[in-house]
Amino acid sequence: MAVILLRRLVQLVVVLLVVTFLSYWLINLLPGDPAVQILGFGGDAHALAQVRHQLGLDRPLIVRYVEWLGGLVHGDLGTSYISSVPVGRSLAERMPVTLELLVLAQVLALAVSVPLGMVSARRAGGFVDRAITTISFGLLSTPVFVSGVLLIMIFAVRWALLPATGFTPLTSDPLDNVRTLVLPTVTLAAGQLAVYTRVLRSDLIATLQEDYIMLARARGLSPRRIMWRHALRPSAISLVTVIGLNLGALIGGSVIIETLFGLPGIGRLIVEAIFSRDYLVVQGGVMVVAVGYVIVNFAVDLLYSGLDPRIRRAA
Amino acid sequence: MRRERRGLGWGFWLAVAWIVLVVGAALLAGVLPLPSYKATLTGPPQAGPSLHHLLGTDGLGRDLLSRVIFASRVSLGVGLGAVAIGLIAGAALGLVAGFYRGVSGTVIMALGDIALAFPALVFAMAVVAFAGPNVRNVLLVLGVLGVPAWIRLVRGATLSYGSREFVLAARALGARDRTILGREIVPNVALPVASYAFIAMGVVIVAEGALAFLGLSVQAPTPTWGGMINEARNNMDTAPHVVLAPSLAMFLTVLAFNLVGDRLRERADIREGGLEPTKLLVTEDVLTGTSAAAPIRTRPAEPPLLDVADLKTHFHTARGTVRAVDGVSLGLEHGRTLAIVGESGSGKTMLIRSILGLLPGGGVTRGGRAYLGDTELTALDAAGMRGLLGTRMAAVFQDPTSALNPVRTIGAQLTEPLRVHKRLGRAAARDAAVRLLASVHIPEPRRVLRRYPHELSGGMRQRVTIAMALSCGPDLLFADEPTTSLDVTVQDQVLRLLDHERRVRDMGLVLVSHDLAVVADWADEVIVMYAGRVVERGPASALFTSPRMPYTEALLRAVPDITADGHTRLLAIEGRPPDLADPPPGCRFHPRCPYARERCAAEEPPLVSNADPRHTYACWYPLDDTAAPEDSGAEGAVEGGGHGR
Repeated sequence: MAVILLRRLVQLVVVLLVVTFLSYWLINLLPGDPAVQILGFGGDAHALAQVRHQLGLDRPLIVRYVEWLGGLVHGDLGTSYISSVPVGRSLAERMPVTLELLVLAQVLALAVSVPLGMVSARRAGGFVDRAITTISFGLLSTPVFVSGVLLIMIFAVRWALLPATGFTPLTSDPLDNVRTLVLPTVTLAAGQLAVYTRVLRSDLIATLQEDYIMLARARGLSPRRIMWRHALRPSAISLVTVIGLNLGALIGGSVIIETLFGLPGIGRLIVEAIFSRDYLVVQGGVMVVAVGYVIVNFAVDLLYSGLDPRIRRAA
Repeated sequence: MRRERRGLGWGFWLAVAWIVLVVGAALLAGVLPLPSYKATLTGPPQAGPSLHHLLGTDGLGRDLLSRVIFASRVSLGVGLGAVAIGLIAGAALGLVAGFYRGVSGTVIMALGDIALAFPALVFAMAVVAFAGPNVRNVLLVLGVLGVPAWIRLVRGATLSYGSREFVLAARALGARDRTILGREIVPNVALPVASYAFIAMGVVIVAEGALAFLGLSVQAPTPTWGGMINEARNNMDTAPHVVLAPSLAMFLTVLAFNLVGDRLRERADIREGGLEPTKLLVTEDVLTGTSAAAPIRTRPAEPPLLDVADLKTHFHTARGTVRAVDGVSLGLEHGRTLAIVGESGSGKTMLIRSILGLLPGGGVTRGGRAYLGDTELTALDAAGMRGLLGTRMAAVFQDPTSALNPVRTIGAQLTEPLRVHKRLGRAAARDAAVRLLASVHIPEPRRVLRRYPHELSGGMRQRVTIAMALSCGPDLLFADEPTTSLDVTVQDQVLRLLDHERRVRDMGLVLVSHDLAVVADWADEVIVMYAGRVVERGPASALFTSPRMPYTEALLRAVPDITADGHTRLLAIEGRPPDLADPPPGCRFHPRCPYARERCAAEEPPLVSNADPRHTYACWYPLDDTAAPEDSGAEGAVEGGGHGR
């Protein structure tokens, strides 16, 4: 077990190195000369050279990467050329907002989709199942900026129940914090819960055909007990995989949602940085997101063996 | 291939119609009699729908319908272009990765996995922002970002076909890789690819919309759906239709592409492609099943433990009504063993599942009656059955590997009925579980409680399922092929254990098997089933030594007899069990019966008896005792044998 874990950790470190390197490299992948982009075409040769030097573009890529990585360990990602604020600090400031949004959306999506998937699977093909399947298909086909705009239109404009934009930090007023996050969370969760419901439903249908479910019935156990205690865990592997893999889509969604609802999160920060050509912030932001993705999926991998003891031995 | 030709459904055709409409409008946008999309004040600003402006006008008085249609050109154009890029690059790389595997395949897949870690939308935004927002850049970046998903899809489809019989056969025949790819793989991968092309179209349209929403797609004055939504959202309170029009157009288009893709995917799915027999259309609750209500009948004063009268179980499938159990009657007393014998597909398993009320939900009707003592099982609802299952009736199934939940410990599964039905506390249930495991001869029961099913051997697993079935002290135990999946050396031990428990607990035991020789040793009475009906029944010894029905004889001869001399041929029964949706007329066995005559095909024989009223059979031309001379006279000697051993 310890050996497996160690091997996994080594793998994780390698993947993290690749991912951080690619994030760093991104600055070179982007079309155009960063110095020109920053200064505009009016900049003279001397100023351009100075900016290039400041960005480290005059040294070999690998050297710059190692230096950057060294800074990264201390939380130093350079200082924004535009705002003169350390990149690490602005990322740290914006992080809690995005994290709160992502966690709330995941919790909401799971809290709705697990019962829905169960109800659907129990009477697969029945009226309720068809209704749930149809609605989730519709949600799946609704872009977040469409559902977000519609929710604002109904709940903020028409009924004036919730604020359309703005954000109150959790620390200053928890109640207001929740109010400002309701619509963004629902918008983000809507698409996810459709995916989760579909995945869980189809796995549950397969599990419910298993002999051990029939035997659980033969032991006189209640349907609710069979669903939660016997069927859910063996059916959860695909769901957990999708939760991990969907993180990329979720972060993409949060970029739009933070823009739409005026939330000061990482997504909004990256969008602003892209528009203002703030290379270092884009770089740092992308790195944080990619590293987050890798770590979450690493955790998902570990979770598999918790869900299915047979994997522990196979791994 | 017997593929069920399910229609694509009206939703599919509606979606196709919408796609045709949108694509047609986009193509003909220049020719259609529409106001210019950029002409302002073609009508009053923010006006609702009218005859002149079918969708109304926006804040600048521009015609919304015209703008929505011209915007669709951007969405569809970017979609088509990006899908084409993904398809060409992804299909080539995916075919290579799937067909040749090896190093190139591994490298391609690893790169794909790492690419997933980067937020595609953020990357697309950055590239478009830095390279300049125009159709070409948006199209290129979305196309390239779609490639990993395409690789994954094409590789998956290639892998699943690459190992299938016709490809292996082509390889074995020495066909060259290129020929195999071209002739066998590509045509089969085409359907999944077509399906994903539609889904990818939806994905790209959404992505383009997101970019446009952020102002990073085609710039004004060319309208885009995302851009229109972004512009109009500031005036939602005064003119909601301005934001609704592009939103709806976008939603419907994405929905239509997803729907078409999804239906095609269902078609392409090998698992649903018809390799399996027609599935039941399950529309009822799979965890409770259905039960037909029936009036209570008067019962004798001393009812037997189990009494089944004319039980029928019919499945209503797309192929017609499958008569899995077609009028079976039987009875069983405390402490006795009844064996039910027949080939697979004879309805013996469905018979006991029907008695236990464990039928798979809807599409099933049950007729006739079944009583457990005074209780009419066939009149109970799901909750009523739950009151008896586990406590008064229990079951052991064929395959102990699939009978135990793979993700729960033995202890969790074994203590569960004790805690639920007997309301034992955690510690008491554990102690009871240890005693149960010890009683079925499992060594170190306390340690086994912490184990998972996959950590035990097959024989141990079956002992655990028996312990589980016995945990709440049932009066009646159903054992469905309890030894079939076990090692020969373990089979006898398990049967011995079941027989021992029957005797000790004075329990009724229903033993289901396809092996007449095995059960004859342990049963008091034997029922032979064929095509959902009882064809012969009687004391075990009588059936074993002098079968009347040719089918029973065939079952006996299909069993290797270690006492017979080496020249005896092991006979398999010729032909196959009949299709229960369309059984043959007359005696259902007649197409396979070596003794069949004209009458057998015309009239169905009733169950009759000859000398011994306990021994009945359904055959017009029963086998004579003299036909098996070496067995005659042996009846008395074997009578009652096989018990208490």
